[in-house]
Amino acid sequence: MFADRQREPPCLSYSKEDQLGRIWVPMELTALSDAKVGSAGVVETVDLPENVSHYLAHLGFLPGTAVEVLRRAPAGDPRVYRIDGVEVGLRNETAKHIFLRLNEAAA
Amino acid sequence: MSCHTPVLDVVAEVEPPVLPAAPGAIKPMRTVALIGPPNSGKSTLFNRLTGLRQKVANYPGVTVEHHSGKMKAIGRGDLTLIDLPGIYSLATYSEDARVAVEVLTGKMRGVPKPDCVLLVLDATHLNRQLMLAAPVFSIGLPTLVLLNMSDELTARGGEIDTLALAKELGHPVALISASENTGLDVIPEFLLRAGSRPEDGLRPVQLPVLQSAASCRTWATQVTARTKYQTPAASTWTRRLDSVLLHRIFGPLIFLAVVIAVFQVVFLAGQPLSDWLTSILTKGGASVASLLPNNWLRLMLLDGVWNGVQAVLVFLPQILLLFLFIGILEDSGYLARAALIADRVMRAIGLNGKAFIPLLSAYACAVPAIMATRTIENKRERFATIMVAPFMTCSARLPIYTLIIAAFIPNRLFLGGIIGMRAMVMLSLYALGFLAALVTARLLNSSVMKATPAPFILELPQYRWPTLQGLTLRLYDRGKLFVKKAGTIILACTFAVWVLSVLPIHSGQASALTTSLIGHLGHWMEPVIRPLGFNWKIGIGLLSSIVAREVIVGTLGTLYGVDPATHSLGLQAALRGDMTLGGAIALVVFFAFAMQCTSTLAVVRRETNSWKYPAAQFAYMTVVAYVAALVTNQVITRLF
Repeated sequence: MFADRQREPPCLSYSKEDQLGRIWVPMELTALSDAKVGSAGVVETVDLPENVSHYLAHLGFLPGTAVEVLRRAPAGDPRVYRIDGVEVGLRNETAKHIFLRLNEAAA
Repeated sequence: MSCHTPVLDVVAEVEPPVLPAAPGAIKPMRTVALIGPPNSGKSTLFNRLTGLRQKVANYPGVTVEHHSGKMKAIGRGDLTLIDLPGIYSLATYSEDARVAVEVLTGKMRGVPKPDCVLLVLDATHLNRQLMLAAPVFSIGLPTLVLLNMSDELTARGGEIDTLALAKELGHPVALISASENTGLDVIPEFLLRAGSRPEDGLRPVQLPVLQSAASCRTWATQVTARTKYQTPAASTWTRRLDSVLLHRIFGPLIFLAVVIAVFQVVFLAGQPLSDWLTSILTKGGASVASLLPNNWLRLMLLDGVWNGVQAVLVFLPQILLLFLFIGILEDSGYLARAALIADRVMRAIGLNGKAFIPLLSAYACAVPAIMATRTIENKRERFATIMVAPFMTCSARLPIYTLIIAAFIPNRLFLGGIIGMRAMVMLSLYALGFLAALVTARLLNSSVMKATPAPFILELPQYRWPTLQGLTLRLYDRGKLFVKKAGTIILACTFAVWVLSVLPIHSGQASALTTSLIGHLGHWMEPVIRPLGFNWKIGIGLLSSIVAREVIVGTLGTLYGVDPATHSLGLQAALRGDMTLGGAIALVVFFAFAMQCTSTLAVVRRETNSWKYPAAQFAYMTVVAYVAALVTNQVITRLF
């Protein structure tokens, strides 16, 4: 059921997908899909094709915007995020390409 | 980034502004455009301004729907309001945005260039909503900014200085609430002023130079910060409701309960209403007929026209009830949550999250659903969605389902009267259609149409009370469509069936049903459908319903009405005496799968630009329907 999730620890210093399809991100950043329900942070980068990131940008997913993980859908995926006063549902396959700096308290 | 160019193009082409032909002569205003992001309450406002008189059409060459109406509700019947599609930006990634840009710049064929613009924004998240304002302003038309949902804003402790904002934006700004109908009097005032002074002087407004999402966003945030905008607190009600409605266990259970309840009520409340309508229509038809001389004319009007049309019209209550519930679910915001719950299933069958909305609207009718697939950029995924959409149980199947269920399924209640047998059978038919769509999508995905997944991005709106006006308008639209169909296609088909049922005329006497043209045709095709448990009359019904599914009910009404043996019986009683249980259930199963709709075939041909797809779809669905009906009849006949 959760086969498509790539849960590599976010501990390397470049944000690229390797040959195995794993995503490597800088140490201080967390993929949105890895942030726990209830945690909050600030969006740092959105690493998605232009048409997708453009759409997400208009929903508020832009660098510098505060985001909070609200809840999971009953099946666990998609999850609901609160960004900029709006609630948006994203599948983990999309959220894993959005990186944020977690707030101290939540991290 | 390439997304800047479309917006800049617009600006370049708009300047210099086109001046009126003679200096001083003011061209009267004709057209007003209404624009706003999705979920900004744009359609509620549109309904408030135009009332019931609105036209729905398609823009030439594209499938984006086009609502327009005279602004009679505010006393400006001379002005046409054009409702543009709900969009977040004018960057032309989607067809919706392209349409909006073309209309605003006067390049859309058949649509006059708007004289001014009403820009609707949701006041509760202005930071984000203002991002659309920058590109709209740069088009250069007189614009009124309407900050909608003012009631929500104040209730949740938000604040806004409209005067400062108007100064900052260089355009008039007003706080309104379309759902509460407050603040709307600024609109006629603005229109009056825009009409008398088309060149409204300088606009001392600084817009972002490069209109990318990020720069528009920075601009919007600066504007709201300078005008001391107070973001309202999160709606506690929405949070609380979501913690139950999206709960791990309760969420799906509530989802199921809601669906069952809808069908239950459609049946429990719909059936008496439908019976009542039947008795009124029958009495009405009979009393009008008694005024006519007893000759062929009376026979033609009563048997050829009235019986068939009446048989279909009586399903109006059920159809309206179903759409009332769909309307309540959609307007309240629950439908988006349902999409969230259903996404897991959609993904498992390889369909895009975006396919959910077209497939959901296919429950009303496959034609707009297939047109709505234009939002899916990936061609293969789009075609896959087109191929499965007609399996969703559209409202045209409702008449035959209701007829057969009311005639053959006992009205028994289970679980202390909560769940009725009839509603459950109806629900299973809906589930059957969904299952067929699922399996077909799976087959397509694993073979011919393997597609790369597109993202599922879903905005969850605040929960809201549906407005009476919005619901009324929906039902009015739906009812009008249904009655119009009964008065045109269905009337024509049932009349043709009647004519064929009395021809040939032998020495001034009409043929008996079995020796008529249609009787011969029916008996000729009977061997093919006999194994499904269908008699020749049902066969004629199936043939006639290739035009549209509801036609079968009209045809059966005509055929059983012409037959002297069943003339005095109602259609339900006539069918009960003439079909087995196996045949009856096989008939509804056949309808769950078969592609009995020429409009759908035509729209698939248009959207795919090839006869290959509709032909394949028709063949596939008919074969599935035949086999499924055959199995159903054989199994039920052996069991009972």
